Amino acid sequence: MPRIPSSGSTLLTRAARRRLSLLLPGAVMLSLWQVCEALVPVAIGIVVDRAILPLSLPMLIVSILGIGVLFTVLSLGYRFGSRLCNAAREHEAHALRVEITHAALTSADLPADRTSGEVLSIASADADTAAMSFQQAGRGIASVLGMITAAVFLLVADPVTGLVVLVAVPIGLIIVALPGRSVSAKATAQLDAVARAGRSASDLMHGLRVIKAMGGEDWAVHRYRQTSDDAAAAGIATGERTGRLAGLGALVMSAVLAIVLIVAGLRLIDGQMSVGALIGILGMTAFLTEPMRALAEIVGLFAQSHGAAERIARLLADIAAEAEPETPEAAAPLPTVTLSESAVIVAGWPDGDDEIITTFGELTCIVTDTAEHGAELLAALSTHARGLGPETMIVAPHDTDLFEGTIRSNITMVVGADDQVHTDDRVTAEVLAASGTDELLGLVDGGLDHRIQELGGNLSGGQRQRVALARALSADPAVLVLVEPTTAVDAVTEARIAQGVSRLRRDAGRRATVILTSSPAFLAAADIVVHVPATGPILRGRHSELLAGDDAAAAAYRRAVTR
Amino acid sequence: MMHRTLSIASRRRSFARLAPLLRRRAGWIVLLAIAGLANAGAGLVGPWAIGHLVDRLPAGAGPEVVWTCAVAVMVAGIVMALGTWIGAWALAHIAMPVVAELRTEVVDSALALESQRIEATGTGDLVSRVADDSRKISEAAAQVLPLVVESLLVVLVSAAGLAAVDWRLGIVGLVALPMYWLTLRWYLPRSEPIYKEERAAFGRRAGRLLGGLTGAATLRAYRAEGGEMRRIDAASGQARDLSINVFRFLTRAFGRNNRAEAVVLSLLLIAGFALVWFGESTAGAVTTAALVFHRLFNPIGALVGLFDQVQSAGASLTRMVGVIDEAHAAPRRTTTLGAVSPSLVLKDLWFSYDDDPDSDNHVLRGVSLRIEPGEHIAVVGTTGAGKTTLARIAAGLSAPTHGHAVLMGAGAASDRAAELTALGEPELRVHIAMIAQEVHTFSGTLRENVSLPHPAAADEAVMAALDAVGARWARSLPKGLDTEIGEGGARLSAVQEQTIALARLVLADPDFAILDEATAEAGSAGAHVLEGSAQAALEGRGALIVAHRLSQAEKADRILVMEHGQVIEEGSHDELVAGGGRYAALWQAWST
Repeated sequence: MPRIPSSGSTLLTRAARRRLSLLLPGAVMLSLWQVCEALVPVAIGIVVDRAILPLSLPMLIVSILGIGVLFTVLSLGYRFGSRLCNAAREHEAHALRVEITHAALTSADLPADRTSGEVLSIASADADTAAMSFQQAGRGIASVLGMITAAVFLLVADPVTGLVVLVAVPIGLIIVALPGRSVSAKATAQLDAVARAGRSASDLMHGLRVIKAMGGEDWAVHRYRQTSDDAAAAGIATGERTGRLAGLGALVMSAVLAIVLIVAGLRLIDGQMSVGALIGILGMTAFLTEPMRALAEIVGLFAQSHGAAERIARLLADIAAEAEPETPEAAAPLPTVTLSESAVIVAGWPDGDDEIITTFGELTCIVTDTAEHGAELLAALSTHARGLGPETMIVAPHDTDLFEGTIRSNITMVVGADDQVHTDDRVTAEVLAASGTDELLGLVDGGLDHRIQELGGNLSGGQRQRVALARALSADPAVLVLVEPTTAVDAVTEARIAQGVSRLRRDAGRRATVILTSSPAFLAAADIVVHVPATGPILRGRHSELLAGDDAAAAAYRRAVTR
Repeated sequence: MMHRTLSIASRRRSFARLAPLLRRRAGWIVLLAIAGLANAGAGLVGPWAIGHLVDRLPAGAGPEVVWTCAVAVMVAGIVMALGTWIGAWALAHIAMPVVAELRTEVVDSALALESQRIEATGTGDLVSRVADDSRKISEAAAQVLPLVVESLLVVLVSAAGLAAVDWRLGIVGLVALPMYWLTLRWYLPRSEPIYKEERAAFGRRAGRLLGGLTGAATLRAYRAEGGEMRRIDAASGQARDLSINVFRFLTRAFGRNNRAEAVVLSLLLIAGFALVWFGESTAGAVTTAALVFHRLFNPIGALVGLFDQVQSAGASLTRMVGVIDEAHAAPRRTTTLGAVSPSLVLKDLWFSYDDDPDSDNHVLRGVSLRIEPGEHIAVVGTTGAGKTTLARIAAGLSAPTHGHAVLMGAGAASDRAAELTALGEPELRVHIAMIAQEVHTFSGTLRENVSLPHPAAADEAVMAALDAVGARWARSLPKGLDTEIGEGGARLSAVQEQTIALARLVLADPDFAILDEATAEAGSAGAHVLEGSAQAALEGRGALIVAHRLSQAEKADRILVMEHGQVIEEGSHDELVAGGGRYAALWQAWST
């Protein structure tokens, strides 16, 4: 496993090092382009000076050929230079994305304070932004070289005027750059406001059915109008500020041009400068602002890239820390899970001395009164399962995640990178019947090969649960743990599923099945029911026995499971 | 399954929508035109001054020419500064409010669409138009539009300036037009499909990332991370390769631009040489012409480079106007009822999702039902029995294919009746409100979430509604009603989110409440709590409850058992249990 970059800077350095073969030639060619751009006004000056003023036809032919060469180099320099830098950027963004998703998916669990949405945003937006630094690096180097060329030309053409230009232009730019920060803050605020309006619209549309069913149309329009108007107001403010800054820039650059024009004009009158040099110098004065402004912009953009790189590095470090063996204080008295020849034994849950035993061949249902107890047990079982193969033990999460593909691929969990649908993967009729998926197949086109959209968006909650259950049953592990598998399924189907699951697992031979549920349908089908009350001793027995008991514990059980 | 999409407006139609919005800002548009033209015109002074010096200085003119030129450049600078500033200001005052009105109107229209229409198209298309397209338009108005407007003005004015310097040079400059036009003709038809392909690849990549990362727990549980990672890598790699290709293509377009620049610049210099040779023009004029043309490189490059973004903003506009037009074209709900405590009468309801009226693929087959004020009716049946469709029709969200769903006045007003789908929505919701299967907590404060049916409700009313449904947790929130919930806010449990939905119902205070599987996702412990809350929320009003749990049915005044779109049993809990039919069997399985 590659070493994890410790900070944003190291991440960017590593990136630069591994893309050097693209980046270096890219920067060189871009510089060539920038230098040629600087030379265009100079070339115009030379043509006027050498060919048009003396009316020399041979010189005109040479000049036109020269312009052809200049533009060819300019064009090719940009084309290949920017392509190389762009390729470096795309490859790096892809590499970062892959690195982040692999880290997130292969780690035992996401760090507790990271949501999958956050990882998603880092893997998509931040990976792009961080890699963007390559384009900035290429452009930055080119801008600097372009400016150096211009400076050299100016000093050679006429040292006095050249010096004036080289002093006046940076001063002018500084004057323009000073208020720039407040404008970019305004622009950011405006983008935020637009993004807020977008989020609000998307939020309202996702809740559209709720709004329509409850008559909240006025409420929704009012809410949205507010955010939209805020965005418009921010947009007007930004537009005005940006315009003011651009106007200031035009004024300053005109002043610089006027000063240079005076100096150059007077020196030409004194006979110390040629007409060509005058055109070249004045043309270049206008040109110089381009790379300088680009450079200022690049510095700002680079800060963004660095911020993104920093976030990526932090996430990778967090995930790596999570994968480390547990620190002493984290080794909380979790229940311990052991798999013996004949049974699954959970010791130390919910209290120190308790023990829950599920024998192979049996279906055990566990009813907990508090959510904490359930979560504790689930965490212990999941941790234990992770060290074993999927054929030995699976703890199926309650949240039913479906993946793009077909119903079949979601049950077998076999997908290829090529999106090929493996229609030959076997899903037995028994699994389909036991999970209630058979009913669903009759309702959709293509049966098992019905396309599932991303996140299973085209199936209802109950349908999703049934496919997820079929997945768990199809995997057929020796130990299967399910959590409230049928909360979104109607009562009639639920009863059928409970019986089906119990029969299927029993018929498969030595299989242990643990279901955390309080659904009477499953409790009735279970060989043994374990009731864990909030306080007090745990209760074991068959569902009907527990219901029939006449002590306080049995009453508590009845309260927990009657509905 | 149905896949009718929302309509897309024609380009002409879209501009027609924009026209009145723009007309209202005619003053600003005039100001923008004046400022923009002044700015672009002043930009020509620099090249003119240089050309002037080229002509005059070698001819022996004194320093006063230099000073004149410098002053001219300075004055032009002031004009440019003011023009730029005022132009940007005016443009923002035109573009921002127009875009804001447009996006508000789209949301407004989306909300006004009939539920049935939304069900038929799915919310995905609507979300993408209302959220994504209006965001694209807004961003384009802020970032692309100013550049396009400025570049266009500079190009137009410079072309005029070139002709003013010497009309023959102006004609030479016109050669640029077909060259750039050819570039666009080469570029646009090719760019459209590859950009589309790239966008699709981005979408695929985003989908894969989303699916993989949100499903990480399941992938880990089944040790299936490997396959999903390969899929993500492949999607990302494909997007990368396409992006690289798109950029290569873009640089080729820029290359064509460079070619046009070189050709036209050379032609200008050659023509200038000839004009000077024949004494028709001066070297200074040629210099000015060449420098003016040089000034055009950036704006023209920007116009060609931004063409795609302009086009895609235009596409977004047509999609948005499509929603607006559709909402305007929909028939209005205009009936009024004007009766208090009416009864809800459903007569011989048939419903089919097929467009064909004679289809025999019916979800409902002749269901009749009358709910009196205060009466609670539960519907029991398997998935696909038609319960949800019945609930939607009873809530006035769907129109039955055959049959009637009406509110009927009582007592003196018993001659008054109104079809639910014709009744104006504000009045309909006074009588009937529904809690549907999907739960959505809006991003905002708790107060805003509860007060959805009555935005102006006082804090006391909101709190009372929460208390009524037993939401004691609301009182223990650190910021009370001001607590931010929904996306990005405090996380609520499934039970809490459902309670908010019930509190909305209490605040809406309708005569009839329609509940559809409102306790389904809360888990068993939560379901207990929610059943109590729902019972409290239904107090004193009529209700149609799609019962997922039989305990909900047990408490109802009457129970309907549905199968294949028909009612097969009807009666009170005790009657049905005693009757020994389908319901009795269910109850037997449920209660032991």
